[in-house]
Amino acid sequence: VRRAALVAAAAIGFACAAPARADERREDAVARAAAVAARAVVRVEARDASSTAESAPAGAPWRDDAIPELPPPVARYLPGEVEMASGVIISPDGYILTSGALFRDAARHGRVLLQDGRHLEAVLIGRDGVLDVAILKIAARGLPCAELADSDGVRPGELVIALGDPFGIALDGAPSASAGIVSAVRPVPSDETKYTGPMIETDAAINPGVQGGPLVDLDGRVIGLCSPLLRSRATDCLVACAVPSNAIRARLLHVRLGGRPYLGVVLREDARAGSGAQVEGVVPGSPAAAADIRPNDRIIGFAARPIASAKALVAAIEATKAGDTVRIRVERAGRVFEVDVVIARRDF
Amino acid sequence: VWRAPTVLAALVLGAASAARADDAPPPLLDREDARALAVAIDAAARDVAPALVEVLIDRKPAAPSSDGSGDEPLRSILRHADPEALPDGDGPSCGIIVAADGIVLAPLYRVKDATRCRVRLASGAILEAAPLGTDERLKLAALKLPEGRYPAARFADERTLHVGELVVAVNAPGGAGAPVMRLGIVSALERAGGLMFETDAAIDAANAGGALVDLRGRVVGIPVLVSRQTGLDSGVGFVVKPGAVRAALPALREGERARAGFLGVTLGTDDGSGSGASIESVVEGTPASGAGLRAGDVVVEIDGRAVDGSYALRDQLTSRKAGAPVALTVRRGARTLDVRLTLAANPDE
Repeated sequence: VRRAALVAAAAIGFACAAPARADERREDAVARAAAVAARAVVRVEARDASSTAESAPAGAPWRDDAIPELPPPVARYLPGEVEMASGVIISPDGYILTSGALFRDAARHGRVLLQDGRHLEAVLIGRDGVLDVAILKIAARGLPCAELADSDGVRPGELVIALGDPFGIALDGAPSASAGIVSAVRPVPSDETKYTGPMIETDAAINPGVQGGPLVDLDGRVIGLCSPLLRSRATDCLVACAVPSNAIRARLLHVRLGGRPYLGVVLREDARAGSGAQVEGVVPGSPAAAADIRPNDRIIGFAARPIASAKALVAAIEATKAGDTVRIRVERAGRVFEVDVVIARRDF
Repeated sequence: VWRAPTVLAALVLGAASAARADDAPPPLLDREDARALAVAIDAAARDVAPALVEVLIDRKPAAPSSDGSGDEPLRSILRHADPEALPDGDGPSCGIIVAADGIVLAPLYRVKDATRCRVRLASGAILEAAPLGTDERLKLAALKLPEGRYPAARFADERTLHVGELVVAVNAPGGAGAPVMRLGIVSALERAGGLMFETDAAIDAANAGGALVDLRGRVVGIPVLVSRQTGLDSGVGFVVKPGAVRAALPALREGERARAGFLGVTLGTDDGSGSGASIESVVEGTPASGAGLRAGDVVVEIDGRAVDGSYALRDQLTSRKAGAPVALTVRRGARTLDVRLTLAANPDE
């Protein structure tokens, strides 16, 4: 099982730099680990597709290097229309692990706040309802990322650090760090989770908003993803814990390899064959929606190749794989522009 | 093995460490220290684990759960706390074996309504536990296991406790599992009139009644709940000192139900002078009225110890048992009076 996980990790090509060796000189282990991992921590927001609150600015083409046009982030721990959690970037090209609870409704719009101030629309690549962990993709390159540790090596008593955005207070985007120890590694039966495997229980503070953030070891590597507080059925007490990284590997990261590629547009064959694919509708929460493709747009290019018809576009999408970032050429009301979309995966 | 935590504790507490080649300040906790710390925490928890038990509690279905004891001073520390409720904790409670002939201490609020208590030892064996005495001051109840020899906790000498010392709250392993450990430091030494000290290790219904251990695996106290815990760690936990446990044990064995001392006054807000506790009113039919205390009196000493505010007086009173004789020094106008009286139990409880 372990081997399979490692092979999978290799296959999906984590290109994160290994943490520098710590024995070069003596330094504070907790501070160093927190600094190593904190760069990869992001805030993730989700809002209902029907919500008009926080709607993206209209008009401007969506670009992955856009200067943020939204107001500065404010605390939005609002268990209503807009919810927030923390997340951790696990690859330089923008794969992010976060709390699955934000995306129980797969049509919700996800948005990621990077520490450089960028707000990027996120595509839901996959969600595991048992672990309650989601994997998102943003269209970006060269991101600081965290490395996943082998969580089978976690020892009770070892010092760990939880990183995230408690109560949405990290207005500058930099996460809060809370140190603690591994209190126990054991199943935490609770009405709030279906996961029956061992959880990493900790006495580090995991307050609301930190869920989805990483729990890291003293190498700054991710040993688990912070869970919302669970009420233990055994003791009737709240338990702070994290889903082990190996469980995430085994159950979730394979989605980067499988499934059918998915853009999220409804197309219409029309008389103007030879001049692109006419968009009739856009699926909320889909990559197309994240890229602000709209009904009545005409997609005339896909991955640098001209698109003659709806059929040609479907074939071009099928030739991609989930997670690919593709540049699409769009004609809208006589104007032509290009957008980058992240192809998602669908199982249907 | 035990050298490491000693060295570590010295580093963590910022004591002088070995001379260094460069002028950089010494690290607080480098990776070697961190490894040693992990080993020490784990070993300390394993050391105490055999003395920890799970208390399985049967109670009448409708029995209300309330601590109902005179713990106002402690509650007043947690100002946001709901004074009416402690978490029920439907699961088993923690308990600790304090004497090898089978005396177990467990949280009073958990077992006081019990119709039957059983104890699961670390070995997994389940034994009947008969109720003995209770002590509301300590929030603890004593249970007696069947005749036999049991692995009692090794208590530390509390005089060696110091603020900043690393401590680990450990709960009962719960049958098969490993104990759950939470790290913290000693936050303050004198709480609840000296019966308890304070820690920032997270204490909740799951580990109250367990053990707080130092990094040598010695028990430095028994964590107790004094107020409703929100689940979000408040960083304020209370721990009964070994000396208080030792002192209370003979009476607990005898089945005494010790109540917290009650004087029968309401106290005014402190004037900030740090001197004395001002009496706002005196309740009729209480030790205070019997001894002639009046509204406006200021209690400046209790049993020869200076009272530096209303909180200190409450602390001192509730750390004494009902029935205890008390000598108060009271300032009334320009006069100073010596008042002797015997504390009662709060009739409302």
